[in-house]
Amino acid sequence: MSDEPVAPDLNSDEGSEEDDGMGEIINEFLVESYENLDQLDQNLIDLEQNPGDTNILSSIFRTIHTIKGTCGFIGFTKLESVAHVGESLLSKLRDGVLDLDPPRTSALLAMVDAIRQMLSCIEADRNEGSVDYSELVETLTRLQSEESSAEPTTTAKVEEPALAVEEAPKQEEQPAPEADPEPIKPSAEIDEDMEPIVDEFLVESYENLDKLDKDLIELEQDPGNTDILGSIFRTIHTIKGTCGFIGLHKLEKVAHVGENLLGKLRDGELALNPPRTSALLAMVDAIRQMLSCIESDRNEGDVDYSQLVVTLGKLLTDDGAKEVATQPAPATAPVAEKKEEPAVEEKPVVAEKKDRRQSSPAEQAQHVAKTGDKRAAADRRNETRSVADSSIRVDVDILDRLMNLVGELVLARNQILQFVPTGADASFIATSQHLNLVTSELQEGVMKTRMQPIGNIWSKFPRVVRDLSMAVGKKIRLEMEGKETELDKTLIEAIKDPLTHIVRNSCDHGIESPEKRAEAGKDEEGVLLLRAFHEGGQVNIEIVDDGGGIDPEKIKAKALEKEVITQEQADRMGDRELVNLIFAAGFSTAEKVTNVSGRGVGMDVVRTNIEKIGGTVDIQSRKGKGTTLRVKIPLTLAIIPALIITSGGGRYAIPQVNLLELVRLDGEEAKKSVEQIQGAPVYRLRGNLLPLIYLHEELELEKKSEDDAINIVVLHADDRQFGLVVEGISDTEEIVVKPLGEQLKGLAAFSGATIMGDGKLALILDVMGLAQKARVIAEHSEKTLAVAHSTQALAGDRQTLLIFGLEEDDRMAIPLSEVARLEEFKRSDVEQSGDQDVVQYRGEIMPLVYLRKYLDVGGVSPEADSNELMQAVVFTRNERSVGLVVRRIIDIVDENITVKRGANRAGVLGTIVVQDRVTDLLDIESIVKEADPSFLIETTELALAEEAN
Amino acid sequence: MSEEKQFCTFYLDNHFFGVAVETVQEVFRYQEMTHIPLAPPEIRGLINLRGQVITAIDLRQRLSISKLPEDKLPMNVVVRTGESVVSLLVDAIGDVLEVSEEVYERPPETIPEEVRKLVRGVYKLEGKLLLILDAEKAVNINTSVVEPASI
Repeated sequence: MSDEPVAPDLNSDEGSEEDDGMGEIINEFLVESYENLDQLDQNLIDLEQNPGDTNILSSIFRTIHTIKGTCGFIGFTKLESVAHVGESLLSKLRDGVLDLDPPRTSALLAMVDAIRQMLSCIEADRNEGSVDYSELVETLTRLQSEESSAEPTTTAKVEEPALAVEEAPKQEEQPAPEADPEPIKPSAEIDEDMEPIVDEFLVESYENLDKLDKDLIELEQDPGNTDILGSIFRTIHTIKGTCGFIGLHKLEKVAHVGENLLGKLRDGELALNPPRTSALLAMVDAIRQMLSCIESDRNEGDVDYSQLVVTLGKLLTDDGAKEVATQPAPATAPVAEKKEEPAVEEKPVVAEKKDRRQSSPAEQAQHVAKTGDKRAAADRRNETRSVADSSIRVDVDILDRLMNLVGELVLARNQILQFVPTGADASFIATSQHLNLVTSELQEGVMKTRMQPIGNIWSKFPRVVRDLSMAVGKKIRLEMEGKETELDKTLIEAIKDPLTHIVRNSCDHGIESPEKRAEAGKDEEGVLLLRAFHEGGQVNIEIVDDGGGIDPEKIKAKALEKEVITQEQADRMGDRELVNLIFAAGFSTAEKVTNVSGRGVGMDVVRTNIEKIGGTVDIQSRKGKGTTLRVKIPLTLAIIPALIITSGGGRYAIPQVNLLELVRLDGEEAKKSVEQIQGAPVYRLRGNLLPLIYLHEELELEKKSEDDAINIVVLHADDRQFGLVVEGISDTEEIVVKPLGEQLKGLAAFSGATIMGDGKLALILDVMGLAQKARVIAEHSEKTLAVAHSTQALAGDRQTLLIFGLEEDDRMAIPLSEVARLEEFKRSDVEQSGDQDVVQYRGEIMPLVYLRKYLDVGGVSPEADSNELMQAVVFTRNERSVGLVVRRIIDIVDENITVKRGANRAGVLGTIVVQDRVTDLLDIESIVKEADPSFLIETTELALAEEAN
Repeated sequence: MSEEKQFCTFYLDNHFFGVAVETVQEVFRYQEMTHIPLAPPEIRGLINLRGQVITAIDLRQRLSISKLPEDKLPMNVVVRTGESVVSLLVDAIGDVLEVSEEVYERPPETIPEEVRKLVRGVYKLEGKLLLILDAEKAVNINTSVVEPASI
């Protein structure tokens, strides 16, 4: 059945994959379908909560139906067959013949996944891929026949629109019932919940109709063109399918006979002649008319189209066509006029039709009155705006360009405003004020065009939560507040992954199992709340669970064990600080690692990603009560508010996000308040010690101002506060962020540049980078072994390096941050595992890498080395270790390193000069990977899995 | 077969340099620059070129030639390499020259290492030598110690 008759004549004729026209259709289809699928996931989950909700069911049904119809037409038979069985099952569910139970939901979700998979295959390779979905099809089929006692008539009726594609050609034998002008019942008012669907339908249909008109005219010129016919057929079919579903029966009826006629034309059974074209155009007009009625009054109007239906029916046979041709006036002529002015011309048509059916004058009058009403309604509508005119699709690139231009305009505006005080001309002042106003509004307006509701990415979470809770045997209810909160498209993309990770984490680690919850006297069903809202020019996203909360003591123990913090630091930390340690790199508290989340590279990546877009993340947890994660991100990235400060004669911008407060100390106070601890300046801010950084020192600049006063900008980065001492504080300003060139990417202290009002440039300080450089937030990350931090450290200027040698007189270095421990092993402790030398180390088996052998240094072979003791540098990740065997450990130095020479051999990143000696900087990653390829896989896999989400 | 190539020429100290004309976006006079603290000495600062932020590279520094006297201001040759647009600071700007491949020669081994690294070749013109600057290499100044390891 699913071998549709539509595609072959397109594909077989062409012989090639598709022609360009098809490519466009397919792209459109992909975009549409992806959108639909996201919606579908959400709907299915909703439906599982409210199995009886026919609205949701109908919406799902419609989506699948659209996908099926389109892919049948394009010729994706596999996709169509999957969608087809899904549709059949859905129709039974919708009609109440079957009930929705978890297996059915799962099967339907599996279907959605299968469709998505095929879509991505289509996107990539233009074919459906080779995966076999017959099992899924079988499951779906079985799930609908389990209760096959259900009345077959009901299902048959519902499936009608779906099957119409296949049935169309067959109907030639019995055209009568289709064309029968049975009295069409006045359509019901549309359900309010349907409104959005109907609006969408209207927009779509209007677009389609315009195209239809054009296609039909073209077709008349070129009657043999099957491409055009196919396109027309598809359009009408879509309209028919949708309106059948929404309950617009009159519209459906008209579209249906039109579709039958088109089907025959397409299959070459009938030829297109002027009467047929006219009738089809009349049909298009009728549809348009009904659509405008629907738009204004939410019903199909009272106009009777049965005559048109009869005409179209007659045209299905050549005999009928002749008959129609002999009485041309009623059907075709008025229709032709109607085409020019549908709304106005409609009255006479109706009257005429009514006459022909010998209706009573009273009835007729009533009709006229009603049409009058309708026209009034149409006028009303014109005052507002029709649905189709109120939205257009715009390429994101155009929006990006607009955004850049507006950025430029903002700069120009700022520049002009600076001249205003000097130019005393009143009209100039007025004009620039106007410019100021308009620019601000323009900026806001353009920004709005790029805004998207956060609901767009939330819509997939119900699915995530459902699948997860099923997988781990928990009951979790997902609630969402503030779905409509908008933020910039690029930011939406950027927070998608971190948010998904947080949600998964909350499900996996946050919410307890039903048993545990019952024990604690909580509802067995855990609640995960997503809340988004605007506050202070930022978007706040909260992920709240009512789970077990985080135990600070556990975190502390774990952190100590993993050497993320020292005992001394741990003693000083408050609960809140401890809880925030979960964001530290290389941290995972899950006692058992599940396949879901939490292998130590989770939350630090989340934080890195959020901070990358200028956001912050904070966690609050109460043991036994639950955990709240609060993510704050800016509305947009391109234009940010910033504080302008001066230091060493230069101007710098500090993003407002990092700013906490400003403190100014004058005269005596300035001298007294800054105290020193071992040479490190601190300031007592309301009783707490605030470490101070002098910006001019960090930037290696000469202090320019002789002012004794001290200006402290209190900043936060990585959850630490510190004070940045600057020479002057100017003002806050909206700045446009400009990226720095490739040559300057390595400067951690700056994140970009901006153009100031006077046309000069100012660098934007990267507060994070600055803090790391000055080591105010480095205490705990220094000991961190994980990737994120070590790479950041690498990018910095100063590094602590471990210097060692493989021979008597050579020097090699690796960053100390990569080193877990330095160990000595007895040569006799070395055992063999395969061809790998290993030692037992802390209850685990640790592979050894002979660096000398690996780097092919030559000299004495490691095995023959006479030393009884071997020196090993232990490198640990994910609780797995590798020992690098070296000859001697020389020193640990803190050095300003610059690569003097690039790498010239494997395993070496480059050559540097340390303590006036040439030293090779080792590429520890590649060495370890080479030695034990599986070593890093876990990390990579997880990272990939995260990306995929 | 004498193929002709076009070069935008400029002067550095007493050397005569050229860059392939298609890489040059524009040439302009000295413009005030914003100093970048911590940046290597070759990077003189940032320039606001009609709303675009451009890094200015001191070619004298880059080629280890002595500094330009204080009273002279350098000129900008804006080159486009790959994705990035960079301004090269030079002493003075010459003509666009069309030279024949016949007078081309690889840079001799004897010229200083710093210069040879960045010079693609030499055209023996009448009375002087035209050194062809490898713009891509010239702007490739890495401020970071090493590329962040790929994970």
